Amino acid sequence: MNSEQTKQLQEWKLKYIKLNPILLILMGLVLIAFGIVSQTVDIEYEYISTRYDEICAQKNSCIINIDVPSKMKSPVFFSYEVSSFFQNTDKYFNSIPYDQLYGDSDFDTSICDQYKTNQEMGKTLSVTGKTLAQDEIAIPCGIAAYSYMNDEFSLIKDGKQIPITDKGIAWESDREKFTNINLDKQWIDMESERFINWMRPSPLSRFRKLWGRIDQDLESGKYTVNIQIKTNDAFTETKKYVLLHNNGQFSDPILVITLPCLCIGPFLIIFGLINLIYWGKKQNLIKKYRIY
Amino acid sequence: MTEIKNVQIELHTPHVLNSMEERDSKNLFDYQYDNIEKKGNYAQKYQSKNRKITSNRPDYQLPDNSIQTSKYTLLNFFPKQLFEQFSKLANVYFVLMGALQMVPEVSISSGIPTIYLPLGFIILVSGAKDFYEDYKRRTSDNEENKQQVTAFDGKDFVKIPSYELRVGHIVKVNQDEIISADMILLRSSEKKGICYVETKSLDGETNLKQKNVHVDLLQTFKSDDCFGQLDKRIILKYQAPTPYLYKFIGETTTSNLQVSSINFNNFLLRGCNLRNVKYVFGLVAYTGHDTKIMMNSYKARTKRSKLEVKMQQFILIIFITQFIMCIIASLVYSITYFNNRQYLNYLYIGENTSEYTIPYNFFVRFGNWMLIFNNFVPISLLVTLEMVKFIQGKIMTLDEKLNQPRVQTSNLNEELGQIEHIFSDKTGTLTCNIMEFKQIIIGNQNYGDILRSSDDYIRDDELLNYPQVSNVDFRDKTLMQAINDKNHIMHDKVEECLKMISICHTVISDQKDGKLIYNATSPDELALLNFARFVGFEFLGTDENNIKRISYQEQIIEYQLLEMFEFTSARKRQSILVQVINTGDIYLFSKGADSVLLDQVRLSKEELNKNEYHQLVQRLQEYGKIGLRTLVLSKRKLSKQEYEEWHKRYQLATQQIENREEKMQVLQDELEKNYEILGATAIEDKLQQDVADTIAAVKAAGIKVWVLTGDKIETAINIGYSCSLLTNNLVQHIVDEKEELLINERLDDILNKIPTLQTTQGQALIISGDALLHALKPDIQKKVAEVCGYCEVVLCCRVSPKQKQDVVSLIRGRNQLCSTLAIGDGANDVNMITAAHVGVGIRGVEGQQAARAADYSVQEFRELRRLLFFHGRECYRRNSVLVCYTFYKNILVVLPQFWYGILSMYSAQSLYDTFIYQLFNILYGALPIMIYGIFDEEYDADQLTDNKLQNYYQQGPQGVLFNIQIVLFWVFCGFWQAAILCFFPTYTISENFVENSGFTHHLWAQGTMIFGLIVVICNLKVLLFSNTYTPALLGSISFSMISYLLSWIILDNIPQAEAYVVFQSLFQTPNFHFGNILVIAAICSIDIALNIKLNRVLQKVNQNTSIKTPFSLNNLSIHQPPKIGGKLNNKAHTGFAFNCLDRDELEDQDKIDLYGIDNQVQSQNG
Repeated sequence: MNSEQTKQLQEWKLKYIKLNPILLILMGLVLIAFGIVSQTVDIEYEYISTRYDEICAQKNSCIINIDVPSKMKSPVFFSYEVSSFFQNTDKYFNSIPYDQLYGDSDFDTSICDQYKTNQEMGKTLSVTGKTLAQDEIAIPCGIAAYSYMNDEFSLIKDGKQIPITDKGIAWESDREKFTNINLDKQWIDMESERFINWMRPSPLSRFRKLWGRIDQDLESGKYTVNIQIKTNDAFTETKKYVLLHNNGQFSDPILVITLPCLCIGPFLIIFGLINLIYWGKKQNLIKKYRIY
Repeated sequence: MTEIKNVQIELHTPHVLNSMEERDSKNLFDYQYDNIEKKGNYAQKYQSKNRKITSNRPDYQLPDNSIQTSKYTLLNFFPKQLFEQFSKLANVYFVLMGALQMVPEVSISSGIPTIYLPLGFIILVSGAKDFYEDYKRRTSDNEENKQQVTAFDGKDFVKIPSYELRVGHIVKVNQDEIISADMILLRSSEKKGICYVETKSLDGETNLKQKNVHVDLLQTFKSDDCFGQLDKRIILKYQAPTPYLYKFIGETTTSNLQVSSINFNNFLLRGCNLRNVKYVFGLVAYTGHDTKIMMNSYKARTKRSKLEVKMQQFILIIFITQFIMCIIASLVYSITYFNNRQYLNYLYIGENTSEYTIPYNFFVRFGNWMLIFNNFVPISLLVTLEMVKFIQGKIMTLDEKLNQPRVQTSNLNEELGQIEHIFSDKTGTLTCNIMEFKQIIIGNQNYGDILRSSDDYIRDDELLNYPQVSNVDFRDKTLMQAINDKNHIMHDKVEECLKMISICHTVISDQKDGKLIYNATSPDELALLNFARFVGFEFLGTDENNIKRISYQEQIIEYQLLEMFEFTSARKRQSILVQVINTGDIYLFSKGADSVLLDQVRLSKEELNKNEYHQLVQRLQEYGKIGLRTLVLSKRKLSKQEYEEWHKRYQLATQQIENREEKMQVLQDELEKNYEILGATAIEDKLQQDVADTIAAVKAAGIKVWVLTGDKIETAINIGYSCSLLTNNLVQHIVDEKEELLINERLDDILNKIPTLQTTQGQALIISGDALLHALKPDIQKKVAEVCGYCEVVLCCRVSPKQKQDVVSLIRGRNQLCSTLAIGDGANDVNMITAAHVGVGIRGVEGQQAARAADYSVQEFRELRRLLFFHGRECYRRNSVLVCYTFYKNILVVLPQFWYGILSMYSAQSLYDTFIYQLFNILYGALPIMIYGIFDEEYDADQLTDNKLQNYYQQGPQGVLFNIQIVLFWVFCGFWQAAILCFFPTYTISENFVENSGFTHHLWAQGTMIFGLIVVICNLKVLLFSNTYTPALLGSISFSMISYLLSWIILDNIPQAEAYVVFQSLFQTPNFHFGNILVIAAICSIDIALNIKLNRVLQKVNQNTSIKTPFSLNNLSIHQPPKIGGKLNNKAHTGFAFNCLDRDELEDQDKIDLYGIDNQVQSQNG
């Protein structure tokens, strides 16, 4: 390289940047403001949760009552919550045979592990009602499919059943991917959105999944939920809840936004202030901030 | 087998024996060669036995003359290279990890050892680098081995390649050729059997050394073509190969049974250049790796910087952390799993399977976690570091303010920023190796000390009117006036003095192309003589009758040379006894040290107290202080009777056998008395530009400077003064003893003395090579090291290359933590350069060997300043940060999975897509830190080079920027940031429904968000600690982030890709955006806050240890009042130094029994 190029190299360098304590204080203030705002903003949000696994223990069906205190606007979501259920363990997560679920008849079943055949899965009837060969590979197979949470719910107000749709409750990208292979050999409709939702492993051991949507306003009052327990032994020790809610996004602002903001904000302001005082005294000391 | 046959054929050649004598000699030569031991390694086999050889009968059992400096051969390259690669701990680790990846139970990459791909790449790259470097060495070896030499094959002199040369060959060496093996001198084209060699590749000195044929041999080999004759055969018995450069012991036996002992003066060394004689003949004594130069050479070793060594330790610590964390994780898993096995029946735990038990789970999970953690030990670190260093090296070479430095080992960039000790060669490094005549004192008049503005200053254009000579820088017209004006007060004195200068020397003149050329063994004499020529006194030469002629103002003055008393370091003077042919007057001219000559002045006490004498002494002290080399000139007029009476006695003495030397010395002393002082000369051993400045700056920065030189003590002290290493304020301790006991005493003495001295006074140790030889013995070593600890300055004189290396090793051995730098220019410095942590070569006049062996090479000594203070310091800072950051980065990317384990029972569930994860260290997190490592600048380059405002350099030697606390701090940062990175996103997007339609997120959506945040955070971190924002940095940071986005978009759109389609859904989620803002704000602001605190601590450390006040420099003005403090223990320095052939010293070498090894040849009756 010649001198001209070296000069160019020099020109590439910009001036030093100086961060100062004021920036810190500002950031702290912004965070606090953010936290306060997130807490005070009134989000129209109704949230009703009822546990049912204890009531329905050892039964095939049971009824629970839900009290809706005020009118819930459409759409109202009907979900279930499961806790102490580890979809996020290595073993569980890795036994989801995606190529099978995505309609590839030439699927690799090695990851299904101990839940391979219909017998192991405990399935006898196909979706269309035909008998399944016990030694054939189950479609779908694997732990995730085996532990499918298939309790069925119906919401009744004053003896009248409120329609709950299961369309449009899964991500569109998922719906595009999940494809049936042969309904006669499947023990479940893999394009069912409830199934799709279940096959989306949750990162936490307490998780909620959408079961259906009610496209009408729910008046306040008492409702009953008829529950058909169909789940297998996978859920013996699991807490199960039924949820009614009308929005999802800011569900728990305290935990998610407010708390961190309110913790970090003051911390920064204190640091900034200490620094500001110090900086005011000996300006030349802190020329710029360097981390080794 | 063929070799043995050859010997036998030689032995059984039939000879016609005429007389008894020849039969005797026949018996003498009739013996089997027995020069090697049967067993043992190379050294035991060939280098342990004294040798006995016959000329012209090559010993084919001894090794040939080929040399090999390359590390590998074609055959052993592969295994040796593999061994070298896998002696690196990191590589072994990754191989093991790869093996683990292939175990199906444990693997998280479905049994494919994915790690082998980057590992293979890394090994291949460094292998190719090694191969290339070794190839270069190999070609240069080959070149040297194939050089043609003229050897005698029994009948005629033929050209053979150098490597075929064997011990016992007779070789002819022509003028200016390089001697290709160690040999004893048999015959020279010069009548007296003298030849001159230049030994600069051995000891770095450029003056010629005289060697002579042994008197007995001179009589044996009387013609150039007698070597084939049987009666001219000789037997040479000599010692086994030793590394001592100035030592050779042997004896020859001629065919008529004349035994004569051969010493170093008859011995030519490989690597020397033959000068001034047409050709010489020699008998090869040592070949190949047994030669002195090769035994003095030091095997090049791969150098690693301190930072790299420390880094290895930290990697080990990090690995241990990883190990512990994996154990914790797998323990937690196996225990919770065992306790909750009833609830987790959907995970299918058969009661009788091995999975039911704790140990099985433990080991499988442990393997899993190890694989998840394998990025904890950063595989990319070595590659990134090496690449950055390479580019840093390139940028160094582009530095406009350095004169195209070369970077051979960019590995050591940061070591340049941590130097605590500098070992410097003198000749060619500190000095230009040019002697310049500066000033002369005649009577009480000083000439040459003149300002440029003065009228009497000879301007450059006027200079053309004077004779064109080298080595003179004399611009004073007043001297010319005194010479030319016969009525001038000083005229007579000046004339006498200059005549003396032009006559009293040992220089040989030579006519070449009509020009007068001086062949001097001493650069001082050359300068003196050239000065005489410059002012009009031209020495014409000496003829066969020993008549010396000088021409002066168009007349020729002839002197008959009567006697010559040579210079020795004991006498410290050189005298010449001449008779002016015209007048018949006899004079004794002497020049030498003031300490000797001024004591012998023919003056009464009153006269001694007079002004003139005092002025002279004062002047000499001033000269000495600025490092000029002074010589006092004196004369004595002798009457004829006086001379003749003395001459008779002298003749007698020369013929005596016993105590000849002593008696001659007594007689010489008798004459060298009652001097009349003519004047004194001052010669400058020209320093390179800004040497004094640089040394002062280097010392002010807290670096110790040692000068190691092959020169004499006086010369070294002189240079010490001129480059302001030594001042009269330093107490000098000189150790010049030659025997162990004396040295021991002397050192004890010094150690006792030091505490009694004032603490304000600095100490300087001046030690000679001979003393050093003993001083490096284990028991004395401690004392030397202790003394050195006290001393600010250490000068080592008359040291051989090997000793230079030993001194460096001594310091290295004494303090493992201290980094050393050796700087030198000649081949004699190569050992030192390779032994020190960092070797810097100067590409000067003395060839390229040093520059080639060095890690960095520069043009001048002063460039060291910028190299250390700017490049070294900045590289150290950047590379420290780079290493820490790489640790941090990898912790950041690995640890969220560990934290996430809290939520998933430590089941070793990975959060990231494998493909994306692999790209992290290549694409998303590699570039910005590299750009930082290349371009970042904390302070302005010139400000750093200056190093005056504050000692910016200090951080390096103190190791402030890279130590366990700093690394732990970074690791700590990684830990808490990883925790935030894991939990904040988890709870923002996974806790609940995230979208208006009530959808929830996939585990991988969360992983993707975390990973994305990691990419953002670790790139922003670079921005946070950068000092300069270059467009390259900003660009690379944007590139990293955008490339992450792009790779997800691409992945999402490939239907076959395993990655779950999450990106689109993530971007539809408001919580995702809020969460991102929160995490980035939280981490960055806490990070800034923490570092403000940290910086303040660091600033305080820096403030406390401020720079020493750089001492004012002596500029070359003579008018400073002399400081002769009464408190000083040592006499003020007067600057005597004279470089000359010193026969005493060479012969002394024989007498010293080095290291107590008795290598004397046993006389055998053959």
